[in-house]
Amino acid sequence: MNNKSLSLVTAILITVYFVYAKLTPQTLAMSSKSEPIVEMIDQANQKVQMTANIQSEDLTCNCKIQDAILNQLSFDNPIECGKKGLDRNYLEPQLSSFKKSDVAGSYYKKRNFVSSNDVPLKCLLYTMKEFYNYAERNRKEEEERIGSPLAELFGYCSSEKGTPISKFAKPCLTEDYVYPIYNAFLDVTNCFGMDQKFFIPKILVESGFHLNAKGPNGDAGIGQFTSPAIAEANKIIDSMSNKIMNDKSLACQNLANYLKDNPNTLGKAGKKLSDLPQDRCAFLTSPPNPIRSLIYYAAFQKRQKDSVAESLNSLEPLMKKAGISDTTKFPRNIINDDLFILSYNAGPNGATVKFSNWLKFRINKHPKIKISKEDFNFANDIPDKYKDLDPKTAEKEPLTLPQYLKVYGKNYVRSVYFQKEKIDRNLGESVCTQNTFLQL
Amino acid sequence: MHAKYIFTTLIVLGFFIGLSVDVKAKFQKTQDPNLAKDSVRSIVNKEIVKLKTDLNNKKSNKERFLLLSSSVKKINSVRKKFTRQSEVDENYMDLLMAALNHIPTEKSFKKEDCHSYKNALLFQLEPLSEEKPSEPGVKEGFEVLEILCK
Repeated sequence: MNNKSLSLVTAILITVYFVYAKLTPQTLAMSSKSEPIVEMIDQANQKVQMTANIQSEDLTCNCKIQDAILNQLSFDNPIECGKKGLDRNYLEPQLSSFKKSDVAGSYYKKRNFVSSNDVPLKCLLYTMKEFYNYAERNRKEEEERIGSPLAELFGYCSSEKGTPISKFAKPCLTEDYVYPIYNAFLDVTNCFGMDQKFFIPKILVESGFHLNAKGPNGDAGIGQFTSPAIAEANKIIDSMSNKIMNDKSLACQNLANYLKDNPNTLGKAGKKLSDLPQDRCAFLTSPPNPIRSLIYYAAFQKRQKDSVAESLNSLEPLMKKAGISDTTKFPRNIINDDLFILSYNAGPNGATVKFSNWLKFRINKHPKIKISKEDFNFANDIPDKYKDLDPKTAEKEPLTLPQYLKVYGKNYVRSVYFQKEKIDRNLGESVCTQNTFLQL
Repeated sequence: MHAKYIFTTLIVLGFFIGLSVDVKAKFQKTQDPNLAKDSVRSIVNKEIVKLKTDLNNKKSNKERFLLLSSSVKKINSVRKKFTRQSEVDENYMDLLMAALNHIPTEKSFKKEDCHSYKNALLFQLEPLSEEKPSEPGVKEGFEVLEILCK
């Protein structure tokens, strides 16, 4: 082939390429400006992902919920929820209002796409159902312990003002109830880079994703907000809002559209939301919840996680003394996760106090027994002999961190880990949870 | 004469042995947690009770913060003199000290910001509590902040 033929073939190939790729010389010229091209590729990728995932909802499970064995999860039927003298569909009027507030339609209904990186809907549906068992069992145990009745697990607010009134009936798990929470959870976690699988077992123990979950101390909503939690989230809510508004990811854009259509979602005219108990209904009513409560949840979690990391840094000398300075053997991010979960009820500083006390306990009272990875293993059952151990005699044993927390602190981390194991058994290993959750 | 000398020596020796045992029990680092258990925690508690009373009696902010820092120093010093106490007591005292450490310094303290100081303390040590903590150590420290905010 001579040079002339070679040039001709090359020209034909280039022309064919332009025709098939639908690229014009103008779009080619844009490649000098890299950003628009990157954005175009991003958008194209998102579209491909959307169309690739249009499929029916997978709700299969191998579940045992309230003694019933299920191989398929299902939504509640709103008509059934109104029977037996209990109106469980009491949130329906608010959910209808939420639909109207969701002008872009990103939240209130089933989406045509879900990224394969997102947890499936069944993770939330299971969590919501299982929360009834978990919380009710806990409440009964606590009532027996203190010898007096506790408030109901759910609250109701007719408007954003006021404190929630106790509600006996658990909410009806209709599609109108579950989809807004699921879609908002995906967008908030994706927008702020939160690992969904880390939060599923954690939220199951906190609120079960219920819009109107209510704790005994006034903690309420998906994030179980108290005054200190709201006040702390308020410190960074402006930067969270800026991130939503300026980030080009689809998740942030969906949230940004909702905030533009509902400008009071994160506070009125630059004024932060009140942290006072008498204004707690602001975190229960819909609209703007679940959007508001999930963004606030993200802000609060960030504050807690950052604060734990800061406190943990100050413990490096102690960790060195305890023989756990090797960060490949004892990864700090996992220890940080342990303490981050513990900080839900112990607080970031309280969690590190417990951790540092455990280290000092092992250094001073059991110096001959080296701390190993197993000492951080929340997967191991707490041996029966430690369950009702007298705190005075317990210290004769070289307690592991989970055992120490059981005897001298809060057993919360173990509860979350127990739920992770249960979710795995019911919905499949790592479908909804991290494979290496809390494991060194 | 000889018997009198022996008797006096025995009395003097007995006095010094008795004194040294007492000093050991009170001020030296002891290996027996049960021996020291009540003493350290009760010394710390007495100091906090005294601090609260004194804070209530003083009106000047400067004096109040001096009392606070003096009590914190005393407690730290007492705790250093003893070996590790029972885990229940160590956790109690650490949480108490953590709560006291979350009280702002005199320079940055403003009564109008008390609501946010209380929230910040609770966030760090007992975020599920709405207005008052329930953990005994945190509660003691929180009450000191409340007096300063009066």
